[in-house]
Amino acid sequence: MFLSLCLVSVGLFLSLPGVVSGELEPVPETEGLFQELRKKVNDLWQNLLYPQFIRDSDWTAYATCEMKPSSKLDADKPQVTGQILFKQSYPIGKLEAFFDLDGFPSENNQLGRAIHIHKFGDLSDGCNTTGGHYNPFNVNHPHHPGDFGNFYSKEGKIRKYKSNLSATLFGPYTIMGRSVVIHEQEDDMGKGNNKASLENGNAGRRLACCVIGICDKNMWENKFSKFVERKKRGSQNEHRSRPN
Amino acid sequence: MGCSVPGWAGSSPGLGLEFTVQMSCQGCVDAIGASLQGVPGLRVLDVRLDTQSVLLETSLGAEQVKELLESSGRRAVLKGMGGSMTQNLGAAVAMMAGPSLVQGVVRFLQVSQEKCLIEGTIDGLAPGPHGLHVHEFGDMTSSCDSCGEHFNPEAECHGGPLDEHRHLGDLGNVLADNDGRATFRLEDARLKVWDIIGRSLVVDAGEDDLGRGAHPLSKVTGNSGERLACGIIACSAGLFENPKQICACDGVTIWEERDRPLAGPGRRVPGQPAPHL
Ligand SMILES: [Cu+2]
Ligand SMILES: [Zn+2]
Ligand SMILES: [Zn+2]
Ligand SMILES: [Zn+2]
Repeated sequence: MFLSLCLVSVGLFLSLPGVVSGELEPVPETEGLFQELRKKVNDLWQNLLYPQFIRDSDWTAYATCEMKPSSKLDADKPQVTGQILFKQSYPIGKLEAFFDLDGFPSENNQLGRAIHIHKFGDLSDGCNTTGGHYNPFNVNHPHHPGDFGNFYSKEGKIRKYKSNLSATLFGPYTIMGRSVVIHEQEDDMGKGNNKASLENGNAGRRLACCVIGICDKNMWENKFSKFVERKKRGSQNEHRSRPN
Repeated sequence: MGCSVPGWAGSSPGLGLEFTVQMSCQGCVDAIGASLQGVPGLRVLDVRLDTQSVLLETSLGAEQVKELLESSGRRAVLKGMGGSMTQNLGAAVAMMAGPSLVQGVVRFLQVSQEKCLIEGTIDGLAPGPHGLHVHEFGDMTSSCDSCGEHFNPEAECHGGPLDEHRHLGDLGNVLADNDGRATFRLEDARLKVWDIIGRSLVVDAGEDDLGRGAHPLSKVTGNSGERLACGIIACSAGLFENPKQICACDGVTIWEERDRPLAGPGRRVPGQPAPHL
């Protein structure tokens, strides 16, 4: 997008060598300066009001997180991989997310596993350096913006769409550049009757984590159209199987 | 905004680093003090046994200091970093990896409104200069190919870090030595940590011509070749911003996580001493 703009200006410059090497007329010069100034002021305002990544993509922010097993995890633990995609429209849209995770034991009646946003995206010591739950408002667990609750795997996979989430991609409390962590155990949702329960839900070891990064809309749109199709097919099948 | 860095009232403009270092007795504390004594460009400010923390100020890179600390046989994890200003600015880290064997750690610190410090170590490079750029997306789904183009919110052409006309993400070149390691500390007046969180850092196979070459790609990418390694620019802790030495989710210290990775029963064996290395 910006690339092409840049090339256009290079092209203009190259196509006008005669004008450039000749005497410069003063009028376009000041006009240019004025326009440049106006553009700068305008840009400043735009940047204050709307962060760059929203303007790049139709007033909607998209993010992705590539889940990888913690580098500090034992080989006999579930090696979880997959992707979490986020979408939020500016300024009042609520965060939506697709969770696609693989690598869980395939036996059924698995317990739930907790997924949270942690404060840092620092994976320099595996998932251990991601800090605690992201807690910008100093509240108890499970009221942190990134407390996504428990997820249940089916045939070794988690496939889940969630909407109306309270975390945000915008403003001073953005989750961009922070991490998503999946734990080995179930989140007690603050009902564990101990201090840790109100901090982290006693969800146990960190199996896998990822950094939330900016992306374009393509992956979300692909995923979403497949999701809608599946839903449609699902409801048609329901109709067909219903006895008339 | 975002990943804030509580101020640190150091006297010189060095980098403040706070490490968690595995140590269990006063002997370890003394040994660490001794091992860092006399290292040029490094000043130990505080070593604490109770919190297993080492605070120091240095002109060296964080990875270099970590290696120095670990050379004494003790594990060290960077807990936070900060500058000498007392403002809440920003800190970030990019873990570099990719399709090649090239890997590294690069840290960003917003030292003041006009100064972003970028310091890192990247290994596995061919000796010589390599282009280094911030790219627009923090998307590794197709490794470094999904990182998008150079971060360029001002619709400029590619340039060098000191040029007026440049992509904001143009950081020029880093130089790999004969062992294939690039150790660098750059300062950039235009880049702001809060603008690049969630984007990516990419190191390229060749030299960035800073937009001055004859190749058609010169004004686009600096013609610096294929992308060797990349990492998402992620929020990291400022000094003292990560007060717990334990991993907050389940109450075990990071050493237990690393050395006794047990879950379930027997997880919290009381009074078991940390290994004395
Ligand atoms: Cu968690
Ligand atoms: Zn929580
Ligand atoms: Zn590049
Ligand atoms: Zn560039």
